[in-house]
Amino acid sequence: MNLRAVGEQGFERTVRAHSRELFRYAYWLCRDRGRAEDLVQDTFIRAWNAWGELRDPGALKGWLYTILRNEHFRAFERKHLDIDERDIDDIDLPVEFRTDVAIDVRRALHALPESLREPLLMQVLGGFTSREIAGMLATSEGAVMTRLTRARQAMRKLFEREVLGQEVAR
Amino acid sequence: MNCLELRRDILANPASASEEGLRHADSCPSCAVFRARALALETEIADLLAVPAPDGMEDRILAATVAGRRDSRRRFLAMAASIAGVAFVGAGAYFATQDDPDALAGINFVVEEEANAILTAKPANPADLVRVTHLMNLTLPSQLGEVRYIGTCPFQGTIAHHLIVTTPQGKATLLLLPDKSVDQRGVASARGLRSLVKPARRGSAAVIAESSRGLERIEQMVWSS
Repeated sequence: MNLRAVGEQGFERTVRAHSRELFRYAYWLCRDRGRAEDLVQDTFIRAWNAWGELRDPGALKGWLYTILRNEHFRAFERKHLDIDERDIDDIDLPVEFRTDVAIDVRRALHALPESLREPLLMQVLGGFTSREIAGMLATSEGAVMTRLTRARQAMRKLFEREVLGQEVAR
Repeated sequence: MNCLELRRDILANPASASEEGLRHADSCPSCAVFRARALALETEIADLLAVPAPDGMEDRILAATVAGRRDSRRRFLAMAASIAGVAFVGAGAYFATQDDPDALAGINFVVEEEANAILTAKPANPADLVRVTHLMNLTLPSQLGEVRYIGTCPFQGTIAHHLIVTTPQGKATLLLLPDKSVDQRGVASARGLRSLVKPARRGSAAVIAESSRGLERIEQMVWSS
């Protein structure tokens, strides 16, 4: 079965099943609600125009994410990310997180560089595996794991900075 | 699995743990705490990311896609009847051949995307435009008309240098596409507009105008080198 076979009803089900999740992904890419809705709509317009070309329904969600991501970068005239992919062994692993004090997650997430935030969004929002993310970002699974690790490390460091700042302020 | 390997796995994906990793965490209090805190952080991240979507978004998407297709079928039937009438009176010989997809994309850009492209474009550098036209061996003489807008925007996977000109025959759009090659001149007519796409020394350029006369005039000027 391909997507053409499920036709308009299948497309409508897809819109209702995935548009909210795609909106969240779009929002955290561009951080603008109006722009995020435009991105989601553009994504589904492109998907609708190509409906039937996707042979594997299991790849549908990844396909939609990829279209949205391309639309986002087209809009911002971005052709590639500034990715530093040193080996994962270079990474300093933390002993423990500090979640016992107030943490400004939002600020930390905003402060993440895009190359780290993007795979994190795909994993947390989309539930994609490292391998699937690697396919969407056209990179290796190891590189994705490195970026995910760095994303969480960076957030931890930002939390600590935030927390230290709060403690100093007291 | 040792502590380092487990913590590495947890940082890459806290929600997914192998049986081996779980066994290690059960026997290592420090790693158990590490995992618990990582999961707590993950919950906070997931909660933060769950921003609410705008009400009615799905309906707007469906109106722009599935419902739009239904509308386009009606438009197609109306257009087919209109084209049959035009063909009967023998008009439109200039565009009698099948629409060129790239030229048609130019028309669709003007109708659907141009306004948004103007709103979201970065400020254009006129020197870049001069450099690009020279590179493409095209000319933009002042007789072309009054330049109302210059900018850059995405177009079919490449960057277009986008101009809007007011000519004696009405508004026209030029898209200079130094990184998009076409094999030959192609034309299209749709949605009340005429367009052509044509090779340049480097890449190609598209012109979208309100009349075939305006299109021919711009073509003669821009490809005069």
